[in-house]
Amino acid sequence: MIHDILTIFWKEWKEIKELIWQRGSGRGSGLRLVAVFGIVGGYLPWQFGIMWIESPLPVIYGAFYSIFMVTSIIVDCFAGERERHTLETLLASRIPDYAILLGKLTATISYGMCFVLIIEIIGLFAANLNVNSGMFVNYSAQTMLSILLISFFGSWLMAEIGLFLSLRASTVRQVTQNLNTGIMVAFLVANFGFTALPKTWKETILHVFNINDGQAIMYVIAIILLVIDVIILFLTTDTFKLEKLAIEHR
Amino acid sequence: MTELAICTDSLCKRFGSLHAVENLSLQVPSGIVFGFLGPNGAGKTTTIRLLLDLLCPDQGTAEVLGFNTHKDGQLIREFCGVLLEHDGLYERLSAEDNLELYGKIYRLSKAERSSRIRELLTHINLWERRTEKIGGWSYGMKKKLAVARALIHHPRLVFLDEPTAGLDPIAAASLRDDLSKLVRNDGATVFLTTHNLAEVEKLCNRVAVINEGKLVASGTPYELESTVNVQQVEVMGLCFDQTVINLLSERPEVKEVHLNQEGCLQLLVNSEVKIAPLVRLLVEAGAQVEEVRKNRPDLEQVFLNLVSEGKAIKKLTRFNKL
Repeated sequence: MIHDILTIFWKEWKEIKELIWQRGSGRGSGLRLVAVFGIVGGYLPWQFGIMWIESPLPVIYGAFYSIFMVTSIIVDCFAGERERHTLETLLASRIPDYAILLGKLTATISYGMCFVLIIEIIGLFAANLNVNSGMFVNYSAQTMLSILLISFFGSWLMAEIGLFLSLRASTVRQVTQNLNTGIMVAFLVANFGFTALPKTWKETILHVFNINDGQAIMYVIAIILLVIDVIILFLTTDTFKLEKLAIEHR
Repeated sequence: MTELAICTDSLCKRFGSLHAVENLSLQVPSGIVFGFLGPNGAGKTTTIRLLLDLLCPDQGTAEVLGFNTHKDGQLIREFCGVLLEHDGLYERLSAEDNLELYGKIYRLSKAERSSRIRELLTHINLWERRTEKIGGWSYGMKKKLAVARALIHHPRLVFLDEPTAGLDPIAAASLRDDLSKLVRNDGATVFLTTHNLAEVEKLCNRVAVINEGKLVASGTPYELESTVNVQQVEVMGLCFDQTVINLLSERPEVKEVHLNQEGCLQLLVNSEVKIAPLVRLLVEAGAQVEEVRKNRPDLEQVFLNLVSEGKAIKKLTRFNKL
């Protein structure tokens, strides 16, 4: 089982690597990566200084980056393979369907996590440059744990949603549109939903966030994400049927 | 008793109102090249999908390499090599990585993988280009790589859908040679779908023809050719004028007669008809006969005959319903 998952994981990483390199060419790709890591990972934390290290900012940014990076890759997983006619040959091999699913899922999550970890490490050094206290200030253990948990469960959630949509779509463009619409709707509902709440409710919520330990809230969010992740994983596994994929491939 | 690589019993698959495969009962002995013929949309690809358990049949059963497709799909796929309608290659990856992936999938050890990849790529003259991404390769090169991928794990049964389509004549001949060797030396079975009937005649030990989801004929190419109850006769000579043609057309045993552009008289007669009386008739009518050649119907004729018969029956059924 592990061997099969790792095989798909290996294939996905090879493709991700080629995809990143393909977007630019040679030195162009390298410069683009340096620019992304420099601006997102270096410049922003440098501006925040000590606030970057001591506030929940790295957790929030980490969650955002992981979700963003995972979304850009996951849309290609099944719809892309179907579009390029590689999925049916893969399904016609001996590899079990769950290995294909989990291999793609783990590769995508690990890609998001790698990006976040690199960004957070660069961010830590950049923020320290601004502090310039002569001592190296590190993230607290709770912050580090929160970064890992929220980014991991957040990217897992997005990867699963992306997979779920990718299984049902026939083209990458269709998945991208569905996913972007979904994210926009979720954002708008959360934003307008909160604004539409009665004033007393809003005050209560803000009060809870203020008086409680921020880390505890992070853990609660992580647990909620974990529960949602597990539910969607079962739904996705159930959806992933060889026959359906093959027929849709006709 | 011959061991069967594939055995299906009344296999049916419908997509809505479309009967993609209907009551297909097929027996493919092990260790042969089996040609599966049919016009476009006849149900060939659906049959392969059913045999690989990528689709569930609505009715009937199928056994591949002794395993039931419904229960042991994964085991079947373990022992089969596949080249489907599309090559299924990852264009962002190199040729070597494409083969490496399937070597890993079929659990070849690292040493086995590297030696097998080298062997296959050298054989198809692509070893020097192994690190190139295949996205820019020609159709024929990709096809050769896809066939190599299907053979990487020494499969017991290979499904090849149009393997020589798009290959140059040298590459196509080389592939045919390889498939013959695969059967002869490794004892593998090859299930081949193709539209190239000359290829089938050269390569296949047994043939089945499917049309509109139904099996219309099966047997050796020779057996199939014998089912056509006509023979083509070519008469070369001089003075083949309209009178001679009319004289032959009036004979009940002659089904068709025409003069081709090279001045050769072509007759279509029943297979049991003796040709000598017809030649005498020609000579008596003033024609000068230099050479008479009897041709057995080839597989193409058989195929066209079977497919057109199916269409004629269908038309007749529709007409009767009206």
